[in-house]
Amino acid sequence: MAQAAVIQIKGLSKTYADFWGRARVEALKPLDLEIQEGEIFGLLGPNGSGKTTTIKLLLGLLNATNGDAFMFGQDPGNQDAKRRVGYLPEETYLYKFLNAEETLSFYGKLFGLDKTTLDTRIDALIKQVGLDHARKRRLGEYSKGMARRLGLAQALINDPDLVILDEPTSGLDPIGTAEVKDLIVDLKQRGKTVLLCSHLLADVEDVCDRLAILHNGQLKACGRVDELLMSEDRTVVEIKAGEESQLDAVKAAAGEALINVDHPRERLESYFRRIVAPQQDVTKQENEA
Amino acid sequence: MTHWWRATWAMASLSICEIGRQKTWIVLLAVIAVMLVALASLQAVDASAQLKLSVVTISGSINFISTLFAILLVAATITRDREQLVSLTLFPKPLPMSAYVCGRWLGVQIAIAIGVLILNTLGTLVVHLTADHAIPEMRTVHKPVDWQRVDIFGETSPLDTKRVTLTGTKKGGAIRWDLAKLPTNQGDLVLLLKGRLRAIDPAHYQSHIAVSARPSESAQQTLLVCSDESPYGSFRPDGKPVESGATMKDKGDNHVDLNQDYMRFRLAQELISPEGTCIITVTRNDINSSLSFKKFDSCLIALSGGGFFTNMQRGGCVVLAQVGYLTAIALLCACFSNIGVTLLAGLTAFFGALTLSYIQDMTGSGKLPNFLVRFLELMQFIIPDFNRYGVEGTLAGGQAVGWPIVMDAWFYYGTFSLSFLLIAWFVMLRREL
Ligand SMILES: Nc1ncnc2c1ncn2[C@@H]1O[C@H](COP(=O)(O)OP(=O)(O)OP(=O)(O)O)[C@@H](O)[C@H]1O
Ligand SMILES: [Mg+2]
Repeated sequence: MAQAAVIQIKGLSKTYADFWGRARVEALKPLDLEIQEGEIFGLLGPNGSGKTTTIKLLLGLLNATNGDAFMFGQDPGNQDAKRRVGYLPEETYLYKFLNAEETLSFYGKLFGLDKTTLDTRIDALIKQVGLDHARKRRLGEYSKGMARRLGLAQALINDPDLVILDEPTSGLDPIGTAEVKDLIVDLKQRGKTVLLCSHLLADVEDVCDRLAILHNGQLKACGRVDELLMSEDRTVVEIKAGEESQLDAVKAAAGEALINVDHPRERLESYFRRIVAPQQDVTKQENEA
Repeated sequence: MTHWWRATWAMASLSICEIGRQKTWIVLLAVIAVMLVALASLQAVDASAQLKLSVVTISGSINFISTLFAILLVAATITRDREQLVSLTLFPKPLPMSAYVCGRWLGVQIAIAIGVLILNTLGTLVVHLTADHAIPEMRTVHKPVDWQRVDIFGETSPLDTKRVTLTGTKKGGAIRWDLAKLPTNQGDLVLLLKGRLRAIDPAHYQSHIAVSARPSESAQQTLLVCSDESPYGSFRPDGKPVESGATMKDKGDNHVDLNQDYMRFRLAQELISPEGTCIITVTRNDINSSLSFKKFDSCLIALSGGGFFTNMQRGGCVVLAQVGYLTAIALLCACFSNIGVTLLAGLTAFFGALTLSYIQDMTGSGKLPNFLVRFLELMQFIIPDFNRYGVEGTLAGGQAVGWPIVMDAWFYYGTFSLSFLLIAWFVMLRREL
């Protein structure tokens, strides 16, 4: 089955300008990226590397300096494309004077959902994010993590085909974090596309099919998680049972107990450090100078 | 299009909810309390003046408060969208920017409308309670279409001025007003008459006149007598009732209260032609004083203008039109600046609109440098005139605020509102979040 590109980014760049139009920060250098339907895509990078900027450009919240971005083949800001997208910003910005139900109902109305669909969906989402006990409380009284959970529900109110999550687990407790991971896997099983920004590398490694690493607004790596993390200079021999001391014997024997000889996987964390570390030193030196 | 309306309405109801859940009710209650205290301490010379004063104060303060409130509300709601970054969850949704701008505007408008409705109801109640008089009667007026001068021999000559003075040493000079399109199905009508009077001798500060009416040119004249409710005109200066005609008092341009300043005559239905025309003749019968009349203001037909309460609410509609303009201005400012600047700009627009008519008077005086005059002339394209309709004066004068006035006000202020909403929409489209 030929997969359709849900997100297409071609030479997209962004330079923030000040009030007088003078260039201040080159947040994103020309970027090319494609995200296919049904994929879970991880966007990684240190703080200030341009992840949020990329997402905002995609959603039409920022105007690109150069290049093009398309969602479902449409320009950023296209109303039809927006109907199929759910977005969770990196911090939870919601109306403090509404309660959980009212918040979801308000956002649902913006999608033109009818009342019965809206009611069942609100009920299901509130239960899914574990806010059933606080559904009538105003958001002004919510804790950070509770607001985050509602933010997640808000992003799913239209049953979107593309879900963009900017650091969804920030402020969540360990159970919440695990639930978000389950949710993402569940979304994938239902054929949805997910764009995930996160600093929790272990989680990204667990759920993502492909990932890209940005650094200083530049794309440093992009590809399938398995391929990126493959270490080709080493070989691992898996044995059915046995101990380290027996390894040589097992190898030499290479008998029926030998099941698999494969490239071992590096942890994403060490890979990430390797990609990002040298440049970080460079920036540091620049700053000191 | 239906989606646009739904999104707009979602935004509007959000705004109403937001305003309703603010602590603004306390301010509103405080305003009502202040209004009551102020009214209780107001003292006028007589009961009718007291009534007038209450009406002016109450409707004036309602208008003032609601317009100020609008600025405050917009400044608080829209800047919050931006400063608290709620727009980051708002605009990734299929919410057209025009629906956002219109919805916000509409929401504030509806919230203020509810406030004005409540305040006006309370205001009517307060007028009822404080005034010994009953609620004032409201009238709409029907103005004459033409007028002519009639000399002492009965010869008519056309008049092309707006004001004319009857004077001279011979009795009998007269003015005739032609009325047309009068309602023929309402039975007897009420004729209102006033004029300015000048005399050298204080004994002649009241002047004897004869008022007569006929349905058409060819018909017989019928002499009218003041009706019982007429505030003056039936008695001579010495206190005796007049046998025929009426005695007129000096009522200048400032006397515009339909209940107090006009003599009243009953205009029987026979005196109105089936086509709705009527000719009124006022004859000067006292050579010791001169009389002067205005073409459209001195001789009027009063028609019932509905109850005080409904007129108060229609006055509220005019105020809402003004509020719409201020809301639009504040909305525009809120799009790119913080709450402080928005408040300041809104207040500037408000007081600018209140003083525009005085500023325009100044530009006509010829004392200002030329560039300043040009500048002030340009201002009227940005700032509308809030004294244009003078709702509280109209209401206090017993004059109805009719739907035509409301429509006219919405057209006038609406043009300004629409322009600013369009600019706000444009600014929002260009803005980055
Ligand atoms: N409104 C803005 N005006 C000017 N510069 C900005 C603005 N927003 C972001 N930047 C700059 O753009 C760069 C990228 O920012 P961005 O928010 O995209 O980073 P990020 O990858 O999301 O970081 P984080 O992990 O901290 O969320 C940073 O250098 C930041 O300083
Ligand atoms: Mg970010």
